[in-house]
This record gives sequence, C-alpha cells and structure tokens, in this order.
Amino acid sequence: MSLNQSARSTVAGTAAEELDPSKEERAGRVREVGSQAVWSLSSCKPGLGVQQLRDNCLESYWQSDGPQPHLVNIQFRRKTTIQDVWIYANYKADESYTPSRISVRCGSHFNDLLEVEVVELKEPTGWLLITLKDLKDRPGINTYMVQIAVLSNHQNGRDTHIRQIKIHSPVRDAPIAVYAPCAFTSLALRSNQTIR
Amino acid sequence: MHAVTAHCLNRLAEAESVLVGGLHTAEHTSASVALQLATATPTHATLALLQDAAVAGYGVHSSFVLRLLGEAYRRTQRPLMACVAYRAALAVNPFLFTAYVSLMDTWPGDKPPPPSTSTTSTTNNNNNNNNINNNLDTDPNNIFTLDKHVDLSYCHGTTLCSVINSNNDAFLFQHYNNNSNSDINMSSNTNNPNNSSKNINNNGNNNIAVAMTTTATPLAPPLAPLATPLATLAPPLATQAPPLATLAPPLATLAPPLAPLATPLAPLATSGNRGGGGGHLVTPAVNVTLSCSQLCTPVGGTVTPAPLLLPPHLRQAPRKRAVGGGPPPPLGGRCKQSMLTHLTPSFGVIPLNPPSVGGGGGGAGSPHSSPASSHPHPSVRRSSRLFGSASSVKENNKARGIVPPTTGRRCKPRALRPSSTPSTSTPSTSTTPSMPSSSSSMPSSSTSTASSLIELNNARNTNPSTASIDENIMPGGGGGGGGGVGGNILMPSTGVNTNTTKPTPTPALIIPPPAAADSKPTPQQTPPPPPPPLVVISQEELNRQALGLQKQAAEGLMSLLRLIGEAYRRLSRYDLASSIAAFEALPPHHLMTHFGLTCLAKAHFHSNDFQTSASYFREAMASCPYLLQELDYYSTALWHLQQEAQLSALAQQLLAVDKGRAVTWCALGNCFSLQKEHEAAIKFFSRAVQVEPTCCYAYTLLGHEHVATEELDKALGAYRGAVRLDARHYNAWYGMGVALYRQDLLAPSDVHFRRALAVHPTSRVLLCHIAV
Repeated sequence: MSLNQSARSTVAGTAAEELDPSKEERAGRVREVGSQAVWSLSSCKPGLGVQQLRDNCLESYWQSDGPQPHLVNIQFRRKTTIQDVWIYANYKADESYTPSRISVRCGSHFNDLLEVEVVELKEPTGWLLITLKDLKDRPGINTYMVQIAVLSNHQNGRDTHIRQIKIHSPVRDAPIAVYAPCAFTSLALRSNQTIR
Repeated sequence: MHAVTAHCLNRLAEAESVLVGGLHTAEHTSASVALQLATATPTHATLALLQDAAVAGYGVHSSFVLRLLGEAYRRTQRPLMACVAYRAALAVNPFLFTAYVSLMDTWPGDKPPPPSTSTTSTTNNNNNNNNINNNLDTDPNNIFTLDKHVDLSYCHGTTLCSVINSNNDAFLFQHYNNNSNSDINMSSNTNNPNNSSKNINNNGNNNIAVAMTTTATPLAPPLAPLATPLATLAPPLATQAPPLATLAPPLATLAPPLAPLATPLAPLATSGNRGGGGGHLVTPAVNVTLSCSQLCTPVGGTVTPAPLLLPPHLRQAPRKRAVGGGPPPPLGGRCKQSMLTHLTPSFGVIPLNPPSVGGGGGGAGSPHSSPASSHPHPSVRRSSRLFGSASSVKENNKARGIVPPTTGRRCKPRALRPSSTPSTSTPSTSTTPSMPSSSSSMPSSSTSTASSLIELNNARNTNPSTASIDENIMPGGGGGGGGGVGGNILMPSTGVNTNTTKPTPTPALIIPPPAAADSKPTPQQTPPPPPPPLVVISQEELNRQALGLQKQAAEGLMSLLRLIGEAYRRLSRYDLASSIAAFEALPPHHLMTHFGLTCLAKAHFHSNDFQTSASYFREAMASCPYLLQELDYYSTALWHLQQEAQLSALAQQLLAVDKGRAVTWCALGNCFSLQKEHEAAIKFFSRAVQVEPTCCYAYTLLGHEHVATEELDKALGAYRGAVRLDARHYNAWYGMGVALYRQDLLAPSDVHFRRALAVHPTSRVLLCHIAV
C-alpha cells in the first residue's frame, strides 16, 4: 500500500484559491471530525501548539521545535472514516518554515501506521487538500489514527509552521441508507426523508 | 390540614406555586382534607370525589385548582391521574378549554378520550365524567350562589343578582384561568391568554378590567400575570373611556404586577387591546367583531410595557367603561378568553358604546341617557352599562357590584358575541344555534336592555360605590367566565323584554353619573352599598332573566367549544386529515385566531405538508406577531423547506420579541443546522433547553443535532428528555429509533419506531423507517 500510494504523491504547488474546507462542510457532504479526536504533536514551541493548529484562525500557527520529521497525531475514539485532510500552509508568510513534503499515515496505533499519501508542495499559499483513498480507491479510510508527518521544509528549514489542519469525514444523511441508495435531491422528497 | 394540603399541592405544582398559594387563601380545611384524600387514591372513582372536594373547598376556584392539579400530575408522570383531574376540572367548569387541551395532550392514547368533554348538553360518555350534562346547570348554579363570593375579594355590594355574582365568578374563573395560563406556560394553553387578549371584547375588556381592578388587591399575585395582559388591554379600552383618570389608580395597582409580565403580555395585550380598543371605540356601529387580526395588527406595533400603557390610557378613555374596564375588561376579556381559548374575537369584540357612555367617570347622567338611546347594538348596551355605572368608573374597577349593568352587559356582549361572529353586529347567531332567538331579539332588546340596564345601573349607582361600574364591567368580564357570560348576553335580550317594563322606574333612579364620577381612585373591593329598594326589585327580576340569558349564552359558547374541542381532539390524535377538515369547518373568525391558525399549521406540518404549514404559520405570525406559541414548528417547517432567508428572518424576529423563550433559540438552532453548522446548532438548542426546560421539542431538536454529529449517546439522552416531558411526542421516539439504528441495534430501534407510530399512525416516514 505504501509503495503504490507513495507513487501517487501529488504535486500540489499552488493551492487554488477556490479550495476551501468550509465550503465542503456547508455543502453537507462532509463533516469536520477533528473535535472527536485527540491531537498530539511531536514537538512544539510554547504558545504555538495544538491550540493554534485547531483554532480556526489562519494567523496563528504551530511551530515545531525538534528533529525532523515533525508529527501531528490524530487519534479517534472509534474507527472513523477519513475522507479529506486539509492543511493550510503559506509560503509567503512562512518561507523556510513552509513544509515541502508531507506524508499521511493511517493505522490503529503508533506502531501500526501505514503511509497512505505523500504530498510534495511547491510554495503553497492556501489550503491543501489531501484525499485519502483505500485500497480499492474508494474515498475515505476507516481508521483509528491518522498521522501527518512533515518530512522536509522549503529551503531546508529545520522547523515547520502549519497554520491549520482540518479532517473531513463523509456524512451519512439518511439514517436508513438502504432504501435510499441515492440521496434525494428534490426538496419535496428530502423533506419527507426524515422526521424532525 | 390546610397547610399540608397546600404543601402537597405545592410540591406537585412547583411551577404554579404562586397561583396555588393564592388559591389557598380561599381554601377550607375540610375541602383540603377531602382533596388530599382524593389525591391519595388515584382511581377513576375518585373523579367525583375530587370534584366535590375541589368544589367544596375552592368553590369558584375549583376548576382551576383541578386543572393545576392535573398539570402537576402530568409533570410528575402520572398521566392517568392528570387526565382524571383535568376531567374533573372540566366537569366543574366546562369552559375550561385549557384543561381540555391539556387532557388531549396527556391522554395516553390507548383509549380515545371522550370527545364530549367540552360539550355541555351532549355528553357522550365520558368514562367517568358524566357531569358535563350537569355542568352547565350546576356551574351557573354554583356560580350563582352568593356564598361563593364570600371569598372573593371583589364582592359586589349591591343586591347582587346572582347573575352578577356569577359574572364575577365567571370573571374570577377567567381570571384564574388567565392567571394559570399566564403564569404557567402551558404549552397548549398559552393560546388562551393570547386568544383572550385577542378576543377581548370591548365589553369583556371593560368588565374584566373592572373586575380586575376590584380583585386586584386581594389577588395581587395571581392577578399579576393576568393583570399584565389586561392592563395592556385596558389601555386601549381606556382610551375610549373618557374618565380614565379615575381608573388610573386602579391601574396603577395593577401596574406593578403587570410590570414583570409586561413583556410577554404587553404585545399580546396591546394587540388585544387594540382590537378591543378599536372595537370599542366609540362605535355606535355595531360591527364590532374585531377579528383577531384586527386586534393584533393594530397592536402589533405597540409593544409598550403594560404599566405604561395603563396610565395614559386610563387618562384618556372617554369611555367610562374603558376606564374602569380598562384593566378589568381586558382581564375579563382575557379571562374569558382563557376559558374559551379559542373564542374568536368575534366573541370578544363587542363594541362598547363609548361615546354615549363616554361620560366615563365624569360623564354625568347624560351618558346614561345616551347609552339608552344609542344602543343599537349590544356593545352600546355594554357601554351604557358601563356608563350607567359611569359614576363608577372607578367603581367599576373596584366592585363588580353592579348587578344589572353587568348582567345586562354580559348578556349583551354574549349575545353579541355569538352573533357577532359574522363580524357584524347583527344579532345573528353564528355558532350557537341556541341563541338565534335570543340573538335576534338581542339587538332591539339589547338596546332597550342596555338602556334599562343602564338605568338600573344608574339606579344602583346611587352611590359612587365602585360596585356599580364593576358590575357593569363584570358582566363583560364575567362573560369571559364562560358560559355564564354568554348567558349574560342572552339575558339582556330576554331581560330586555322584561326589563322594558322596569325601565320606567329605573329612570327615576338614574343617578347622574357625575355624582358617581368622583371616581374614587381606589379600587375598592368593598361592595358598594346596597342600592335603593326600588332598584333591588328590578334587580331581582333582572337576575332571573340574567340567569336565563346566561344559560343560553353558555349553551352557545358550549357548542362553539364543542366544535373547537373536536377539532383539537383530532389533531392531538394525529388524525390529520379529519382535523384539518374540522378546523376548516370552523367559522372563519374563529379560525383566524392565532390558536386556530397554528393548529391548522401543525396539522399540515405533521402530515409533512410543509408548504401549507409554513403559509399558515406565516398568517398566524402576521396576525399576532407576539404570540410565540408554536413557532418552533414553524422554524422546522422552514428548515424542511430549506428556506434559509426566511428562517433567519424568523429567528431575528423572534430574538427581537423575546430572548427568553425556547422557541427563539430553537429557531436559531434550526438556522444553523440548515447551514450544516451542527456544533453551533447544538449550542443553541442547549440554550433553548436551558431557557425552558419544559419545552420538549427543544430536546428533540437537540437530539437530532447530536445524531447529525454522530454523538449518538448524547442524542439518546436528549430524546429521552423529550419523552420524559411528553410521552406523546412522536418526534422523540422517532429520533431514538434512528439513533439506535445507527448503532445497529435494530430490535430496540424497531420498538421505538413502532411507539412513534402508535402516537402518529399516519406518518409516512415512520412507516418507511419501520419497513427498513
């Protein structure tokens, strides 16, 4: 899995301006599940830690303070289907702190991680989307733990800045997915889908 | 004993402690003991015992006490006892529609409740409650006993026809009903005060206002909730009544209690008042039936704090009635409303003849004469009565003593009301077939009655005692009391016939109102001195007639209640198609009330017809922008329709009106949920729950949001909270089924879906879910 998927490493140089995780959330197809997980970092500078990574503010950032690779560990209470990983990085602001190679690993615990995606960045200036696919290329990986590893930075910087990370999970709208194999799109049918 | 009972009741009815405490003042120890026994043995056999105990102990308050008891039982998870108590309350006072509504909401659903709880003459079998037939008989009789009034602070001092007393009682009933309604947030019954405010008959308002003032002092705490609406209503009425100044003091007394309640009530009251005020205003024109919309629209804008409203209005009302009645009438009207709940404005809106009566406090005798002459319509009569007691603008407030005026007034308004449904002052009886004759004769008789009554009143007003005015007002207020008032209306017409002979003597007794006009600012509760013997005689006759009329009017009201009750019953059984048909069969002025519209909207909502439901809710909101009763369903309907702009507009509007209601926070939560921001929505729904822990729909919506965020355990907890509050809330059962399904616990999920289906058998969505 790791070899095949590392071969799929994408070059996401310029994160398009139109990429925005909240738009996806508002569309209702995905949900941000970071709040259901326990976040931990390999290292951080005081005052620039997990809080700043998760505070929905693009001005505050996490700064690592140790040897490479820098790790962000996200552990869920139960197996969660992770579809998207969004990372906000800004070369103009962070320069040598901007990550250039990011690896996403999934598994059940620290010693059971498999690399799922490797992404190369070229001077990113916004949101970066990493879509996780399982072995059969279906979107979303069902896992307990996700680890985001920063393998190297621009200009060979030692530490890294990451401004925001979001995790998206697909939403199951209809409680009964069986009799609604396709989500109703018309208003009339959708209003009859559930009792509220 | 007394204390023990009080404690018992207080424990049960923690939320209604104020009212219960107020009621306790009228208890008798023996009755309390009996009540305790009754509460200890909750079986159906105790229905009669409960009833007797309550009646013996609380007398006029018994129906309210029983209803409170029912509410207490409902909250403490004893639905059967609650049903028993509600039925007893209805047996005692068949106009207690709020009790009926609660009964409908609480009925466990295994056996359909008898539909005739609100019928008087035709009791179809209520399992144990077969007193409905007798209710109308016994109620007025009970009411007509003088000794019941011993406890009432507002006794009329005069000979007090029993009618008048009953009016007072009715008023009291209403009063309490309003009180309970206002201070207890009965979900289903909140419409009553609203309705009552809407339907405030000018007469009713006046009467009630008067009654209110009189009773204000002794019943200050319970009055407070009622007072506010009345107070708000009173101002508009007051505007019409010229001698407002006299009323100012009474209103002032009401103002403090009103102040705390000003906010929620003020809008209502103002709306109600407006309607009433508008109606009354001087309109010799008969067409007084103010539709709810009329009532609400003019007022809608004016959300002035009740206390503030009162004083200015008081000063202005050229109509005495308005003045005295200012506070009382609104109360009366409201009281009546609460009792009748759904009585549409047609009932409530009996135009007072303000101009003629205008003398209000200061009106001199002339008002008396003018009313007599200008009573083409019942309203005129009312006003004349008021003015008759003109001297008693203040008096009105105080004592409901004046029997003839009140009775006459009540009769007239009542007669008017049923007939006024077609929104014309024509005496045509709308919904009350029993009243056609009376109503037809009403207009003519009404005027004559009015005049005669006024004369009587005037005669009675020999002294500036407030009683006279009060009585005048009381009739209106009493009318609220339910049938009694209705009867009053009828009575005037009949009374008029008989009274025509009497007017001759009475004119002699007409005391120029100016004399009485020295309107004592103090709302005396003391009964006015007995009227001169000449007046007494006529009063007796009048009483008899009044009694007869009262009964007729009561019958008319009963039939209306029957209609509405049947429609509501179908709704609560979720028999939606027939309930929609039943509601639409109601006469339009009844349907256009806030209650009617929201019921219809809910019926459509539960049948998943959200467009129609939303349009009905919109109408309801347009007619009464401050009645927030069922608007959480409106917000959900908009959520289903995905109308974000409208939903957010609704939320803004609700926020502006009242931040302390769960409905507001539910609407906000729905807004955010529509935007898929479930975390924020959870916050808002939690706030809704915090603000109003008894709003079960807020719990259900909270549960839905938790399901959306996959927090299924929290969702189940929220749904359980909803079900704890209201076991017939099928939404919550459905939600639990969904949450369990998501956890792949199929069997329990199925159980919950079936339970939801048991409550709401025609839900297509539920059936689909069970199929899966």
